[in-house]
Amino acid sequence: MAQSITFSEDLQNDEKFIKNLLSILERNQKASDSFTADLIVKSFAPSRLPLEASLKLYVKGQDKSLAKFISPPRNKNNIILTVMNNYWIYFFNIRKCIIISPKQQLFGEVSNADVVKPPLIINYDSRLIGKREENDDLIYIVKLVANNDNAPYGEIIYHLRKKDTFVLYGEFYARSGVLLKRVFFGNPLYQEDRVFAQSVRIVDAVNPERYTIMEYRNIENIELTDRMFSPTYLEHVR
Amino acid sequence: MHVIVRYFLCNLFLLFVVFMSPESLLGETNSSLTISLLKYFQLNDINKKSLLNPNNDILVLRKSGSVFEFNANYLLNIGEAFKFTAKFVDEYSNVNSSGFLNERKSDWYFNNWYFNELFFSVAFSDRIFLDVGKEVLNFGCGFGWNPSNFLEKYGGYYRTGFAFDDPDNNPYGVSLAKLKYYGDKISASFVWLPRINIDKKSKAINDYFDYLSNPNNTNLCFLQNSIVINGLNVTFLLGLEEKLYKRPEQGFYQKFGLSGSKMVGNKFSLHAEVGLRNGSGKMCPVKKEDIYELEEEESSEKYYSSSLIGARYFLSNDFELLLEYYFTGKGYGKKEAQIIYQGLENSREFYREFAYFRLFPVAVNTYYEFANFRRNYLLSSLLRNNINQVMDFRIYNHLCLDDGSGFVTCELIYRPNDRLSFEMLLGFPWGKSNTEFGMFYNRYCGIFKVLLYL
Repeated sequence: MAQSITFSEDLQNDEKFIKNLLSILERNQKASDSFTADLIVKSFAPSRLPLEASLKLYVKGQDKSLAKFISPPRNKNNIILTVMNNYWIYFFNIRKCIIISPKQQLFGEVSNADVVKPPLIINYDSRLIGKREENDDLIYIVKLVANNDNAPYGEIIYHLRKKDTFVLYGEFYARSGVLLKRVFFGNPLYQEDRVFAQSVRIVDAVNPERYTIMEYRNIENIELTDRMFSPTYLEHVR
Repeated sequence: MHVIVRYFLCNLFLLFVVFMSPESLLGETNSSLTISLLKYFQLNDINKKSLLNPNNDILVLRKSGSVFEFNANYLLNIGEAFKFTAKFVDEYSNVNSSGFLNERKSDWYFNNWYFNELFFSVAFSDRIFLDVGKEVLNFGCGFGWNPSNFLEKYGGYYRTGFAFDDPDNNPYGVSLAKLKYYGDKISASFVWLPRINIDKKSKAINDYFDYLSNPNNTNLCFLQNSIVINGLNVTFLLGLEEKLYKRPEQGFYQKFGLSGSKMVGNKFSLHAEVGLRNGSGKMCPVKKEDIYELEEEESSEKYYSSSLIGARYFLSNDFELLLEYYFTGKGYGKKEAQIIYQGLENSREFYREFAYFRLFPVAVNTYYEFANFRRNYLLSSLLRNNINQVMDFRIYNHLCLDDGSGFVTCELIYRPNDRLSFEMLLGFPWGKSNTEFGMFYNRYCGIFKVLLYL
């Protein structure tokens, strides 16, 4: 599949490629400019039974996402919304929406910002900090540093495969510099101008036996309206 | 045991109706069922016993109350344009809604059932919606209080208790018609709560109709506008309420509400609310029992205001701090409050026979204004989620700034799996006697709750 994709001349050019790293990463965060998907989240830890949640994901552009819980029953129909760097949670049972932090834990090792993602371009500056070769593939190591207080992480390090721009691995750091989680990306979905990871494994940095797997299924490119990404509209999201 | 059997037999029919819907014919059905078992207990002068000692008999004390709550949330999408929402509540308890214990041995438990919500929603497009029926309306962004809420009285109980997102803290639904419009940046709703006054010969039927529909005694209409600008979520309310009975010629009470909340950085959020109204110190619509009170004290010329400002700080992924200051605008002064508290203190013998209901002695708070007697209040809270993935902890302190008394509430939630939740809440009032919370010194109380999600 990967071999059938041809990237533009610009991307093959090293200099321009490095210059466009942030916008490449930004594009690859989303399956398309407007889409829906089913998201299955499974969390594992040695001391307890596995937890599982399923959500319906709606994404529009760089800055608008919402995720509606399908299960577990306790959270059914609750919705998490992000617009730019603002986050809300809608409680179905009381039909009320409140502001939340992107850093709040949603499920297992997954925070709100890992599911409904804020735009990288406005929150981070990027630079190339290294290269390595793996299985004859050139891997760029890119460091993103938060440029404002709204960014959910202080620093992110991504390992990006040059030949198809697929992000293989990431490290997420707090503002204090502490490593919070390691993220492994897999099952790439090649779209027209991007490559999207349909499987994400998030591993706790302190205890690697605690990890969460996110899987995107049934991705559909659908033109969504802007107005559904408003805290007041959430009760009408089906 | 006979109580439980009777209870489940009573609800068998409902289960059948709710969950045997012809989904294939009518479209997507989205239903959930929550069964709650609540045990209220009040501990008085028995604090030498360990609360968690399984051998003591605290949970069967005469002053305790048991409530089985059966909640069924039912959402049915019929095609793209129609939606039907219902929330059925069945309470089976020995504590009635006024906080009294039912002490008749032959009929120890009694049963209240009602639809907290029952409404149809029609979508004329993806911008215009119409709701008709009995619906819960929530306003404001405050956690402890909502001064901008026109319908605060319908909340019934003061919010301290299980977390604000607990559906059992949900206000009662009201009969209404609501037209909603969603623009690209601004949304607006026009809501009408019609005056419903059905006079039936049978008082029992009349009372039950009131219970089911929660009707207004006046016409109330209001406009609600919401807008989000750079993450600042602002809601503006403008309402008119018809004046009551003996003075219909005087027109309408005017009511205004404003609320807003915003995240500052990714760890700190601010929220605020203001309510302004004339003619009555109450923001909410007037109920029957208020009429006589209003006749004496209302002044159409005078405006009353109440306000709230609050902040939340997200200490880490799991820790959250909340601070909220509430100014009631029309609370009792020191001398007036002293007279009331002294009177209550003198009648303690009488009040000993009351049970705590949802933590607070509603008997002292007939108009649900407990923690609103005075003017200045502070709510502080520490929330700790995910202590060990299955356990949450929360602690609240309500402080009356006017007299220095308070009420501490501790809450522990244990969720062994996705469908089961055990919740325990303990409340401790503190302060000198003849203060708002200090009236209940030497007492503490609690709720134990089991939730089953189906």
